[in-house]
Amino acid sequence: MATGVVAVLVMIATPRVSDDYRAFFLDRTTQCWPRNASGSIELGHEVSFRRDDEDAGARNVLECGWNSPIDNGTWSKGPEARLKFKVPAEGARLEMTLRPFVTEQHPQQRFQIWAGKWQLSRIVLMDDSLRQQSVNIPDLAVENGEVVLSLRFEDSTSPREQGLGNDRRDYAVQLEALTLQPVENE
Amino acid sequence: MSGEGSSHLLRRLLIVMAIAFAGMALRYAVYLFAYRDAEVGRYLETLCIWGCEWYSSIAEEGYDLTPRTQGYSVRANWAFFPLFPMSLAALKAVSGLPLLVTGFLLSNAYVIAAAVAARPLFGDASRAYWLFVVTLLAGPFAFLFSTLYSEGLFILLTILVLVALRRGSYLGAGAMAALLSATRPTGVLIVFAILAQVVIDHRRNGGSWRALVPRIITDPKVMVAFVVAPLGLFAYMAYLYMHVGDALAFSHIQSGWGRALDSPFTHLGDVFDRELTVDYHTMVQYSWAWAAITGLILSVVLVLQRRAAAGLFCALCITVSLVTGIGSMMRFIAGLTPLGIAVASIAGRWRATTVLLALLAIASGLALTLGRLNGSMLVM
Repeated sequence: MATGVVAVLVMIATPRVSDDYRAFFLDRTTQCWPRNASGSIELGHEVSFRRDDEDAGARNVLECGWNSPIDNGTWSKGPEARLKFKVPAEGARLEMTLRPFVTEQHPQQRFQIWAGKWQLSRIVLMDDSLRQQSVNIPDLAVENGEVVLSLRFEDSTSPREQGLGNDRRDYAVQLEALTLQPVENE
Repeated sequence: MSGEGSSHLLRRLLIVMAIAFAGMALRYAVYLFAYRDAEVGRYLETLCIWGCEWYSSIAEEGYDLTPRTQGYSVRANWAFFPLFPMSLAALKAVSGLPLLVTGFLLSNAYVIAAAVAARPLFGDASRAYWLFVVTLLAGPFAFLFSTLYSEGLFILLTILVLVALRRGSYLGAGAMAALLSATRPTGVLIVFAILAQVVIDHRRNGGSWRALVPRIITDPKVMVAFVVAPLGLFAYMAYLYMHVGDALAFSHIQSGWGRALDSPFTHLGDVFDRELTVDYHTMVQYSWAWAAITGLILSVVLVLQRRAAAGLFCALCITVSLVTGIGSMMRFIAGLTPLGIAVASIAGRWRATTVLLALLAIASGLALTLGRLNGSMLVM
């Protein structure tokens, strides 16, 4: 019996899993498990992230770290969320309409936007109204016609932590819409 | 077994089967009434939602190598323990029948066997026993035995452990416990029921508390029972380690269903703290919470009925489940058949209450079947 228990404990202590699996399931440092979204949206065309518009393109770009869409948009989930796009080789410009999760006690949402090893932007949102944010996606960030943008939230928090109910999920920003503009439209 | 014993057993089997078939016929009649469709295959497909689809995936394709994204959730079939889908796949391979038909036959066979095997747990209380059989086979959760769910097998193995303990057969209890621990995550908790019964038997035989530990460790049958009982769980963990790389994958994947570790009181409090509104999801959550509380109360009733091992097992199963949330609590309660034994033992003392409870159980069985056919979350 002792041998069996030791064997089980050794197995528990020595998982042989991928880095994504370890971060998501074991260390819980991310709530981002890649969905392998297609990334396909029409350039210059606004994509809505409201529940009623879910099939209009949002599913194609929400890679991970997002809750299910609700009436007025899609909330991020956890410390990181990713968006995936098919992008021309020369890059593009992403325009987003966002609302931060802020309260009196938690007055700002700061987050960084990364593409691979490139930090593209750092954004600070201070009140709970909708805000337009733009970020340039340079050609260096485009790999095989695709780019995965990682939104890394420095201030994600839960309604429970803010005394606003029992919801334990961490939120940072709500994405209402985005448009991927080709570079020549600037 | 004497000829008289065999004839009693055969008579009991036939009556149990008749009640089971009557329950199946009633539930099918509900489908006919609601859908105006006599196609049995479509009836089985309509019943097969929620966990049934996961068990199907295991029986047909085996366990997932990597998690899958379902909408915005990350899930895998690792959360569903292997013994039931293994038996399903084996019977399908031998019979050549479609999976849903195989599951229908197998689940019903398990629960019929459970109903027959449970007789010794009622002693001389024959009326209580038959009330239990009716509520099990035609009652509110009986539709689970017409589809691919592990409840029938879990109930059978739980009863076999308790019967073995009643007869003082620790080895038999340990063997059944090993199978139970391969059926559901909470199955391994039956080892505490075995321990409780060992203590009770020791004290009943005049043993002192000081002599308890020496008595346990020097009794080879007791020690083998404890060693064997968790083997089903250990075997599944070893499989997951080799297949996925994570021996606790069955636990880690629970987050995909919104389950998170916290105090049972916190999870219950999350339900009762919110405003009571008459909307579907709130009503379901309240039902789950009250099912857990009722189950815990009935666990105490079991102890008062001198069924302490069963009561401890049920209380542990409910509490451990509550540690990760209240989701699916109604179905978890449905699988804890000693709770039904407790209720039947009380109501079965009087003819009037027996008849009343039987009728209520059948009526609720029809209602919940209709709910299930319409995708109700109540017993998901």
